[in-house]
Amino acid sequence: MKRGFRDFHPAVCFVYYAGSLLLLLLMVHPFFTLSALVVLFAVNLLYDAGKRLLQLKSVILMTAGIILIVNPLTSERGAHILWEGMSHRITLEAVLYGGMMAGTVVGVIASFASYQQVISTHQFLYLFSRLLPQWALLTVLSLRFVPLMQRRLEEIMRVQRSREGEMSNFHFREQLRRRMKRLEVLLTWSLEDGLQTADSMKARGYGAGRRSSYIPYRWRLSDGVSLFFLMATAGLCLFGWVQGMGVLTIYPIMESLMPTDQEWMLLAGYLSFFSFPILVEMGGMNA
Amino acid sequence: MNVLDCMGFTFTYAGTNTPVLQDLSFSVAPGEMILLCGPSGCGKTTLLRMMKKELQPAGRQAGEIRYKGISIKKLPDIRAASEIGMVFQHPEHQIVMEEVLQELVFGMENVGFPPDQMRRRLAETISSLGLEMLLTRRTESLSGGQKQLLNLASIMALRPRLLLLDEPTGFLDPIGAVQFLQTIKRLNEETGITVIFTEHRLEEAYPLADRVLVMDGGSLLYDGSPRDGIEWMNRAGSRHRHLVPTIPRLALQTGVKSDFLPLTVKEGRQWLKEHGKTASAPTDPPEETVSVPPNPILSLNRIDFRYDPETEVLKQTTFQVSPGECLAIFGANGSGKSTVLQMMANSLQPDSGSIRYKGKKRKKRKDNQWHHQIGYLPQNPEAFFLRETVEAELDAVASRFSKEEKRDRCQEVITHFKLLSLLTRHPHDLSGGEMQKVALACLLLRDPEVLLLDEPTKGMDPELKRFLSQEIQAFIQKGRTVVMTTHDVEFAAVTATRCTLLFDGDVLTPAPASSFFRKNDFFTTAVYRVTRDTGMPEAVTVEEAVRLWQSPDWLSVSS
Repeated sequence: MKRGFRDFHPAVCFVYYAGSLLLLLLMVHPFFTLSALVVLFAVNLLYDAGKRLLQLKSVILMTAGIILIVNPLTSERGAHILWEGMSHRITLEAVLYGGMMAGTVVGVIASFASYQQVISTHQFLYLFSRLLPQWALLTVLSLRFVPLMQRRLEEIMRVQRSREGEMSNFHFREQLRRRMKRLEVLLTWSLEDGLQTADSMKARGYGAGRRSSYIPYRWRLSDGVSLFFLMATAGLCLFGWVQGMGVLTIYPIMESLMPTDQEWMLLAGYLSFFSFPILVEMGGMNA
Repeated sequence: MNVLDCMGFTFTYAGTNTPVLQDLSFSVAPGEMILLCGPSGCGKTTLLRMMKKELQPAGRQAGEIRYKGISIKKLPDIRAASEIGMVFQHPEHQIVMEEVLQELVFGMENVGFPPDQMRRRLAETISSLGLEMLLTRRTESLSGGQKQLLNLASIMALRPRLLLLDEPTGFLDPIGAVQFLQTIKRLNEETGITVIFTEHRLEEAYPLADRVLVMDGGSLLYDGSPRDGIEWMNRAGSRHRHLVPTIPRLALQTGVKSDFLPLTVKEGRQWLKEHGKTASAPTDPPEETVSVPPNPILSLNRIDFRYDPETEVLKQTTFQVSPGECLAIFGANGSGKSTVLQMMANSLQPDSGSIRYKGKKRKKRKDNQWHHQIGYLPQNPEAFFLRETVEAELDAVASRFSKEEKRDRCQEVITHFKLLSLLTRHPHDLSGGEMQKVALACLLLRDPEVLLLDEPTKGMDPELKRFLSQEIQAFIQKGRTVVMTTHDVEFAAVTATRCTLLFDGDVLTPAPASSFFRKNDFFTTAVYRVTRDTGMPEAVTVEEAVRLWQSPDWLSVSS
């Protein structure tokens, strides 16, 4: 039987996502971030043909757009001036820095999107309910929240639209205040639902004793090999990061954009880590 | 030994002084199926939660509740979780996992069943509840009724000895509700599991119970057999008389003295055979008059709508409502009932087709006249409220009136709807029925021409339902219009003037309520099911039956 990435032991999959997050946040370099983005998008395509990313496209574009625009507008630091106006100048440093931040944020979103397709709630509880039962419960509940809140917000907007006639004044400030109110309502409402879910979990003995698992997640040789591969490549990246590689120093003086020879090697390790699911699916690891 | 003993139990919530449960004493024998009823806020839910160790609310307790002789508080965790199961009202919020299989084993994993045992329990549970087809589905794709059955199955897999159900059918459509309650009854009869449940749907639930407990104000008022319970409710004053389900109410209101009180449709027909003059010829049903209403106030013309390209919700939907009528729209969950109302409320725009109000076509997204004159009560009233207290909410709604007028109007609504005790509460802290009531008060404060109500009776107890029905009737008497979606056949039969069914994206031609219900077999009121083809004049509501049978003396008074 052909086994894919999703059939690995949950611990292996979790290490991949935890590692991805860590590396994305640590290695802030245009080359690294961009290539990680490309690979993460490919991983998303692999599991649901990019549907989840498409759903999130407005969130992605908005956050990335805001960071890209706001950073050059608020920061004037840097020696390479791209454009100079009357009271403001835009520097290459600020643009690059904003770009890298935006890339990191998008990367984090993309890895979360793919996480949801690979690691089920069941696997997550299998990994963490013994170790940190309260924390695992909270995480499960908050993950459930996201799609629920999207639907809820739409519903609140629709209902409130029917109440618009009650207000006589339509000042900008009043409008803004009402928008904030809607978000508040969304939060109280969703929290209440969350409490009901928590009740139903407690009522079925969550946290009462040692949890067993219906699906026997057996540790196989291939899991060990994979974990070793992930650890080795991530370790290499971390080692390089400690040496100051894989990070583009911008302030106070920008270093050269092109990676050094050692950094090219590091990039290879970095990419092998991120493309691990693709390598597995293409190679069709046998167990 | 008793499964449960409640001994002089009193409970006061932390931070309050008045007890919500007062000196409750009763015992539950193994295998009993007990219905706990009473008006909203009588302490039913609190009592159920007190029986479940994990969910006991914080507060002061006096007396004791014992499960098989052991105080609930001292019960070991694992035993408490597996032997006492609880199903809640909302089908969706109880589900934790993404896949049905994972949800089914969730409880068993929590209490640490070995995999072999889980497999066996799982196989047994799903085949006994008929869930084989759902096993590989994603939980979010299930219907409300299926979700609630899944919640039940996940608990039954733990082999509980006591099952607690807190209004389990509150969010289900009638078919799903009946199916769920019958499943509970079957489990009770076949496995001997003890069941304690609360229900607002007394029509279906009442005949299933072996014993009935009636509570009010935190005290236990009645504890005994269902049939004697009806007699008790009937004597105990108006607050409890509302609880009497339709069929026994029919028997009681005819004034016939009888030592056998019917509870089910079958018994009702039997009762009618004994006490009615069966030899008489059947009367003709009132002829249906299909007339296009004269001056429609609101009309929908060939509306098409879809949320996403694949699923068409409304197809060429066309209908009209006139001043002075209340139109009830029936239809299964997901048939697009709410969509139609939102369309009429100007919260959604049709893909094609037109909507007219007083003959004028709606053009703008923001139409002030529209928003002033048409009030919309959403299915989840939580989405309606924006403010911290009920009072602030009323105040904001009335903000467009002058100071004097505002005070008068608010005062009137507060006394009329009996909102005085709720004014300082947060709208979201109210019970489902109370929330509906406050939202309705807000709408009426605006003095609208048209009311659009999305399942207004959801979560309401019989007393509140009766109030709402009177409110709607008074509103249409003034020449105004109500359009409501509902599952509640009995409520629509006494409230609506016309009824229709939304099916496959289109609305059937609305028919007058009395003839609409006479054409259906299952989708009709209990009274009609009792009276049809009996040789007696057929009726849809209790009042109609009593009126029809009185004049030429259809019933033999002696027994």
